[in-house]
Amino acid sequence: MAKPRQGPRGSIAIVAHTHPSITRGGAEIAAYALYEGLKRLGIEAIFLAACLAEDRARFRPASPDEYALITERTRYDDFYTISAPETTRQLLAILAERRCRLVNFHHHINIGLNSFRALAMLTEIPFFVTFHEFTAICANQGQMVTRPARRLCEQATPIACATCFPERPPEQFQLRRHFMLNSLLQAAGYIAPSHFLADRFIAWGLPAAKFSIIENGLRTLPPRRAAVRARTRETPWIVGTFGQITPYKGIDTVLDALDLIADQPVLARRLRLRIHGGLSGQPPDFTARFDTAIATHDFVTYEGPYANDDIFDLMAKCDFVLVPSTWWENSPVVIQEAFATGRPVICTGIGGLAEKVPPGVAGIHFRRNDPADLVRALAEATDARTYNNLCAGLPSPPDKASVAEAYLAAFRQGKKEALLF
Amino acid sequence: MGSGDLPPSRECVPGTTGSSGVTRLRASHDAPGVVLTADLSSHDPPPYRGHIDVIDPTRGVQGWAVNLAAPRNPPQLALLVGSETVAHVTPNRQRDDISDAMSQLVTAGFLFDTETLSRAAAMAASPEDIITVRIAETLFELGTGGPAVRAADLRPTRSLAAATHAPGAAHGAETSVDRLLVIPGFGCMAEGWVLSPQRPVISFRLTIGGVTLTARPDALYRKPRADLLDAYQDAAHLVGEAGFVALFTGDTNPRDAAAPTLHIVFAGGAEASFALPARLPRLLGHTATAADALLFFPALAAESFFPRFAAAAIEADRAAQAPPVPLTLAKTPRIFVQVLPENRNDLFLAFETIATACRENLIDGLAFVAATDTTRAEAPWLLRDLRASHDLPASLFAIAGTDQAFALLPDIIRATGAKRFVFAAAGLFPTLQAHRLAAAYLRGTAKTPIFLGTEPDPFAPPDLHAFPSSRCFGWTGDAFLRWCETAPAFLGGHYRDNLLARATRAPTLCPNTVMVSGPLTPSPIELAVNETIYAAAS
Repeated sequence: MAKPRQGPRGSIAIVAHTHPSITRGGAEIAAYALYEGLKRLGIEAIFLAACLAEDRARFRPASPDEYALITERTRYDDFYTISAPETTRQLLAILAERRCRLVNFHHHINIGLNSFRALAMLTEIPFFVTFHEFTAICANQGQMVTRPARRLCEQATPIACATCFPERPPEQFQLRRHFMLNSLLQAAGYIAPSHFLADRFIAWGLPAAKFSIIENGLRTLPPRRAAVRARTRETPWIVGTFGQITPYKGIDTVLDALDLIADQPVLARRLRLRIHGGLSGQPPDFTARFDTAIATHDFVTYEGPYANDDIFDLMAKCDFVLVPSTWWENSPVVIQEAFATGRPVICTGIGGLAEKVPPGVAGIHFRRNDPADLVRALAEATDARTYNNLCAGLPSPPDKASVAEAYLAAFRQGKKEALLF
Repeated sequence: MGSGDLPPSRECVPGTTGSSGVTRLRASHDAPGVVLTADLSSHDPPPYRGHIDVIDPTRGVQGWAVNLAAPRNPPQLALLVGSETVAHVTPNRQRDDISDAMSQLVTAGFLFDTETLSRAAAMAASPEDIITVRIAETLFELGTGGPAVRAADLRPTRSLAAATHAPGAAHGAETSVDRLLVIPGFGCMAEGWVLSPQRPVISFRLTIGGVTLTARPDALYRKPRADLLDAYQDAAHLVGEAGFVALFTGDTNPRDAAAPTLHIVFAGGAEASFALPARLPRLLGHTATAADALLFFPALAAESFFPRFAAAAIEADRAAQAPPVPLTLAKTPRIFVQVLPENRNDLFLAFETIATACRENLIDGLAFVAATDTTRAEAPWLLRDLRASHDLPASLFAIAGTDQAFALLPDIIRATGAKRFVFAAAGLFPTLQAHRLAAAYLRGTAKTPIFLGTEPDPFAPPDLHAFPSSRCFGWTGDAFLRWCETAPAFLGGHYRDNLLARATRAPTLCPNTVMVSGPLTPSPIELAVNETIYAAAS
């Protein structure tokens, strides 16, 4: 690793809503990968992560350059994403102590948009915001999926949002948008890992000129893509799903498809479905349905939770990676991991998924919430020629150093734009 | 009540005569030896006297009983169905009419509740079994002054049928009051129903807190009550006009809503009286608001009595307002008064909005006004955190409701000693531009007020009075306090918006500088009341 530049202008601060030692979501992994990438490039960087007071014991910094911003759940507002002033004070104190020259926020939840505003008003430090989903636009966990029907939302408007949240008046959503937009407009630039995500924010009101599209980096990449599995005519096609098993991830669609697969004995013989990931926290009726489905069909197995370090090995034992998400997604890490392993992706043809997995090139699409179409896609996948073509078309995910280079370029561009204003 | 007066009769289903037996009690007391209706023909008159006023499936068995030999020791009573005793009770209610007749304070009133009566009817060996009340351990039976009540009569539909067809039943009316609103200094509104198969009902009177009020003929409405058909299947011809809404005007004492009683006045002048549940009355300004009057009279503002109601509603509202309680108090000559929103999310935003203005050095002094439990719980630490970042004189007041904030603003101005102030009502979020304007006003010398207008609310019905608004305005403390001394009182926190501006000369108007988190349109009843009061004042 190159020696950190000890320039007079100080560090770049990467700020995430949580630390990878506490949770392992895509946003914090991507933020941490960027931090590591900057370090690899020899850039002086620090990593700050919001940490709930009750999670303090789980915070495991890997270096003295990592900090926790201690927050309290009871002193946080999750509608406007406003944190306690104490969180802002901690942030500003660390930035001052480390003489930071630039801040890159990877979320605004937990950290609070009030911290963005304070940073803009009280310091000269420019900041950039990387978006990982639509939290600023959508109050439904940033999914842009309606509640309770869970339909895809094309555009958040105060009236539409008040329909999802009838307990709130449209004026409150108007106010929320005003506050969010005003706070985010203080940023020198924005980074989105997908065009789809950027387009949504641009349509919402952020200036297109301030956006850069940079793919999320992975913390580790396998040294080389896994070899294609040897097969005979009798070798079944193995399709794996990976990640937390939740309704948003579309496992319902997979369970619905199992009966349809069973109705096609030829396909059922040629297919093996492996479900990887944690099932904890799911409602009992869902768990019961899940268990029954696994017990009923011999072509599907539940592999349980897995360690992140094992992801490439587990994917290598599959032929395809299935991503049946029912929300738009942005740039799921699992897709990058599948491509890094050398496995095509079968996914819902919407939003960030559709953008990241060109159909017929790197994978196969099926219609959202349509188990019959999923079965059609699986049948299409069980063909050697199709498989080989898809494997040949897989893009190569960037390593974290190249992602960091792209970020530095965006920072330079953004700062220049900021100076113009 | 004068010594020679009869107490209100308490006739009931099935029909009883007008006598409650009290007159005879008086005669007995004054001249021993008079034969009583409840006398069991013994040669020595028993020492007990009593009467059943009501036997009704919806009100139980009510009446009175005394032991003349020991008036202060009420006798135990037994409820019987046929010859079976099903319950005991000892009179535990004061009855002024009995005390008057006895010339001493006695506890004579009793009640077997509806559940007990229902159980008694269910335990009857035969539907023809008679319901009676006796002095326990004696054969002394309390009279009803009417035909005997059978267990079968206690089933509502049968009860009405019996009353309708029983020869000799005087009135046979049944009634229930669903709502009763007491408006101090004005009167009462009542809504309910009455089924009177024998005689038309021509009016109502209401006794509450010792005062008897008469229903105003111009505010007495009858309406159908089809819902009664379920219970009174034989009364289809009666339900078309069974419902009533009545206004009883006259002075009422808000501290005493005891013993509410509805008197039904029949054609011919006879009356039947029904005790109402003690918990029925709701008091305007305490457990009810002016808007609750709309439940009785949907076109309230069009009623002839509305001006007097409006004045009473204002009085009740103001009488219910407790002064603001300073939780933290700081004297400051220039103050921004922010009423904190009830919604917790908005509360955080309100503090962030203020913090932003503080970062811009636009605020010299603060007063927050908290009205709800949530706000009062969160506001102290939010204020403490705010002051940790911005060392400003800041006060925190607690009040009972956000809509009282405007009316209590003079107290806040006096408590903080503010020479100039800017006020923002709950749910309002001044933009940075509004704070700049407010700061300039607070630090300036202008004598006329400034009004900061809300941005148009595309989601609410058009509010012609959104600007200029007393929801967000600034003025000098002295001028505002002087204005308050002569300004008409208004209902709630929402003044008819332009009245304050109309009453002041050449105000500064700053539209579209304040955002809202919800519709701020005053309720129609608030507007109607305020309009009426303003018209009267001007």
